[in-house]
Amino acid sequence: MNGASQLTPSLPPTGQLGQLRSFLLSRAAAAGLASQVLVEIYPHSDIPPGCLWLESDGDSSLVLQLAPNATLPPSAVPALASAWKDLHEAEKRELLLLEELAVDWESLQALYDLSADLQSDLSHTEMLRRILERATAPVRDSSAILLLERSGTLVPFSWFNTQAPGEFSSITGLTGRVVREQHAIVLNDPVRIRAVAGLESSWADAASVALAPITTPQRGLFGIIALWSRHPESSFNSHLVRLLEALGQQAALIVESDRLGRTLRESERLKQEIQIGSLIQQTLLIGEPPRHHPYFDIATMNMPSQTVDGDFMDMFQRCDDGLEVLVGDVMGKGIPAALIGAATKGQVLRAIAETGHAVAPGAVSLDGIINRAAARMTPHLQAIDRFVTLNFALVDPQRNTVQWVDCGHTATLHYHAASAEATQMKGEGLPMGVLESEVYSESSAPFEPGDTLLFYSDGVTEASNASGDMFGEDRLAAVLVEHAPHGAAAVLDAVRRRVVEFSGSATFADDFTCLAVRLLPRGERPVYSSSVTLDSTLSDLPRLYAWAGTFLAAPETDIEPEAADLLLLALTESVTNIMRHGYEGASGKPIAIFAAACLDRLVFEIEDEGIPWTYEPAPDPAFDGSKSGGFGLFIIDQVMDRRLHLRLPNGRNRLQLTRFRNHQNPTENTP
Amino acid sequence: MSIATETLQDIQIITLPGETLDAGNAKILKEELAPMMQPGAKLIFDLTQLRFVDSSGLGLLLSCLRQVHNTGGDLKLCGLNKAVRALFELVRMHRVFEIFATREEAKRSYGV
Repeated sequence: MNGASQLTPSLPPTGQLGQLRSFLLSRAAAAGLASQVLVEIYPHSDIPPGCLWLESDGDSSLVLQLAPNATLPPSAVPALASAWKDLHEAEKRELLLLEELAVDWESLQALYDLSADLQSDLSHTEMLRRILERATAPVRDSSAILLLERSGTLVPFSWFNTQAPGEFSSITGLTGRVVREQHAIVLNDPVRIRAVAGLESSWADAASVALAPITTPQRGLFGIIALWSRHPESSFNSHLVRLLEALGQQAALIVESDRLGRTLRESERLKQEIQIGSLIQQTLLIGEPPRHHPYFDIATMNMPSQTVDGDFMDMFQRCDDGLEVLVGDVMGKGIPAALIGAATKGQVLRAIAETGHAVAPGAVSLDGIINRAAARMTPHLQAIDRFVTLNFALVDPQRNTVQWVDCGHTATLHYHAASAEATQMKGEGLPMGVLESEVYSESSAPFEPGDTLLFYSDGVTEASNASGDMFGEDRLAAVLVEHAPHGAAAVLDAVRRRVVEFSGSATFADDFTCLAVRLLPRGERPVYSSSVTLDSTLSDLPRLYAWAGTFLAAPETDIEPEAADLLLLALTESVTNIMRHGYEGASGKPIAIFAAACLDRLVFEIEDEGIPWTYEPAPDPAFDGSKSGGFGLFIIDQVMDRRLHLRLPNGRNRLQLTRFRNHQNPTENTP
Repeated sequence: MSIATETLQDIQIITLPGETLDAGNAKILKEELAPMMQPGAKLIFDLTQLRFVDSSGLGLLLSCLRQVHNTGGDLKLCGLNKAVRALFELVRMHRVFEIFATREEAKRSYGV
């Protein structure tokens, strides 16, 4: 295992790295080596000795590394190396196929225009039969046949004026000669014909015979059109051969268009699969976060990629106020991956139901739950050669702790409010489905009020820019540290914006899944809340006044009447702004308002589906009375201590307004 | 909306109707007030009935004020409740408008 063995010239698309890594681990597991090898990325300068080099880009390499004390059989290394190669070749084949399809489609378009006949509604079988009919028309007592290549032999596909023929050789006889020479041949001597034809009994009694190849530039020869006549006076001339060649061209076109049509229908089917997949994802895989939880501020984001991934996540509220979070990723794509995700989630839920409720609060055994689910899933996963990475965590707001079990999932980031730093929360477990004997164990850490967990799929950190750099965990951690104090939705909004900014694209190669959980500091926990949904028309303002009046006057809200007057004013300004600018005066659209009274603040969340409005701090209005407008934002910023504009993953805008109970500070605006 | 007006010598006292003056009705009210914005008019707006005014309502009042000022007239306000007063102070418009607690005080400021 010394030195580097070069397998392929470049690193795979960066978005695929996590998956490739998973793939290698699964092969390693299949070879009984799971606990002995790691697939890691190192800077070139920093590759530890004894690694098998797999891939590299500008500055780093992907290597296969031996675990300490590993004893690899000598055959294991080439086995893994060839697994790597296999995967690459499969990808290359797929790429070639796509390219070929694109080229074919263009030539197809051009050819289509050549023949009006081809644009008819006839089936391709009928069209091919007509070609044979046309071939025989100028010749007395003639027959024709169309052969297509199927796994090495030439199989009759259509025939005219002859008995159902048997197979033809692509090596011997007249047909074999056309395959070898790739051009038309013609014979007008019955004796010669019988000598060369050999077993090709169809034209054993022919006086003349002509054969032309069916080819396309992309596929080469894939069939033959043959014409023969038993009439003793028949003699095929070069004109007839040209006709036969032309008809062979047409036949090629028809066969190819049928094949491409089927490929196209196949791609339609794929599109449909993606739709089904996202439906599974939305309904089975991605849980709705509890909103306005008494202890937690939770936000989720899932942006499916162009293909179906098996990302899943969910949250379960425990009766002892704890929040369980499950996030996972199935290796592979498509509906099978989505279904495996759903099955895994189901098994974890089942295990929670069976064990979770039986144990006393504080004595929850997360690893018990995961081991139980793994025992049920692993045999099935191994049978279909798949596996699942997941992280199952429990945040306990009574004891201020987080416990988790990690099954080879991407690390979770933990923001510590006290130090304003982010650390990694990672375990040692292998992905579920890799090893039947794997026993998962849980870890735990303190989790203080204000702390935030950021769960994410590798689609987030592996989003890459034009030069192939990945967004990476460091950037993600920096975003978390910057925005965690403003809440879970603010973190996810910032993550989305930064990744889009970084990658220069709003669509992602992989599913983009994030979940943020913030343990609310005591002062931010709602003691009283209320909500209302208004219509976007100005005539619905009285309903705002009635609802806000009730909320602001409630004893639990506990504010002075003077403050209540100003808060109503600021809310009205916000809502009319949305009605006029967000919805441009259209009625019939929702404006949903949520208000929460907390110990140290009041929070208002106003959500709409209109055009997002300005993030900038408002310029001062004309205080000399020379202008009638421009007061709205100024009023909001005077009354509120914080104004946040968020774009939610569901496409809604959220205006989040906060007023501290000790309000006096100058306004703070965060884009 | 019917607008109650009272004329005292050359002063017109207009009671702004309704409980709210906001984005929902400022435009209509502006049209209804337009005929009263005569050149050189001496006006008092009585806001006693209004419980709530937003920035659109304030915009309407400012536009009236500018109109009469430009033609040598005047506009004074009275009867602002606490909430309305708070809006004026928040955006410093109490320094732009002449505001009186009662209709009587406003009249007296015109010397009647």
